[in-house]
Amino acid sequence: MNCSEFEKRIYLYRELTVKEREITDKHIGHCESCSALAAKIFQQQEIVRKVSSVKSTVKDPEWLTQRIMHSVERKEKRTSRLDGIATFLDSLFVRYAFSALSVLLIAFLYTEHKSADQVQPIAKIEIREGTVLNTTSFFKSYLTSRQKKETTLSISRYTYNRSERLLKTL
Amino acid sequence: MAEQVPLEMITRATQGDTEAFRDIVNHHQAFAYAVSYRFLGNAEDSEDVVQEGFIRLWKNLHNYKPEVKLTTWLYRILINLCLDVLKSSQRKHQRNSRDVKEEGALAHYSATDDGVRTQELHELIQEAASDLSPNQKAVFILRDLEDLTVEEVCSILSMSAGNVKSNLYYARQQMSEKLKKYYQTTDKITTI
Repeated sequence: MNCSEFEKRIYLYRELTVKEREITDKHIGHCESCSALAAKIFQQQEIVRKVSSVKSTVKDPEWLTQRIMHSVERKEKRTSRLDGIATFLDSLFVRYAFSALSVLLIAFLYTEHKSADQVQPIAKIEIREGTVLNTTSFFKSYLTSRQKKETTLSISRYTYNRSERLLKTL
Repeated sequence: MAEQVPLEMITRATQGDTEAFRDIVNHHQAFAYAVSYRFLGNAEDSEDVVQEGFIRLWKNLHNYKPEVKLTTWLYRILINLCLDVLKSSQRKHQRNSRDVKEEGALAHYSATDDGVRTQELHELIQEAASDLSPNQKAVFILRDLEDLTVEEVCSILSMSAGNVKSNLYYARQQMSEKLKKYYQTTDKITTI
């Protein structure tokens, strides 16, 4: 083992086994640098040990106890209230009542569905999203078709008059 | 480690007796606060952690097994809560405003024969420990300040013995560096 490995052992001296301590002590005995390090570390650990006796205390222990117990009792009350609701919901009467309600609800929804099927749709108008009603083109096509109708009507009227005239001459 | 409360008291508390639990709180409150304060160095956070710790203890008390010490269980709850606080990003910001620097903070330490110098060293160690990683800090506090056995530390932190020793080595090394600086600037340590 070299000094760096012993250095780790010096820091962890309190955690070493009896056998490991013996080996480490032997090394410290003849190694100057490890011996100096051990003296420093042991002294520091003694300081830490002394300091560990200093413990910070609560300013007002009674108040802290009250605070803790208040939270505990509040949680306890809430839990017991929830337990009461859970016991009520768990009773046989409530279970049967909920079952009956569920059956009624299913029956109602089924009849509603059936009656909805019988209604004929009035008209199916599909308007795509974003469609803009172009009145100009609508009126244009309307006027064109009207003009066509009027032309057809005037031609037929002309043809009718002419044929009538012919018939009269005959 | 704090003294154990009578098993009969714990049994009554597990059955929902809040008065028995109040006795447990009174019995363990000081130790719970001291441990939390060592972690957080802040009275307000420590009180919150103690409160939350006892609430968790109460909620899980029905799972209590007599073969496990109540204090070990409480340590585990408190340390997990403290680690959560330490790991939170807010904590990093608050770390600089430690209570020990506040006026009158020394008045809250229990009096010892060593007097103010030990209290100063306590602050120094507390300050130095704040730079350790959460796991190193947990191991250092439990092993060196709370004087728990390695087995107890392993049980509380759910770590292997090797992991505990490794964290302890790095923690002690860093603490040694901090104390060395203090050595160089003052002769306070050597005069204790």
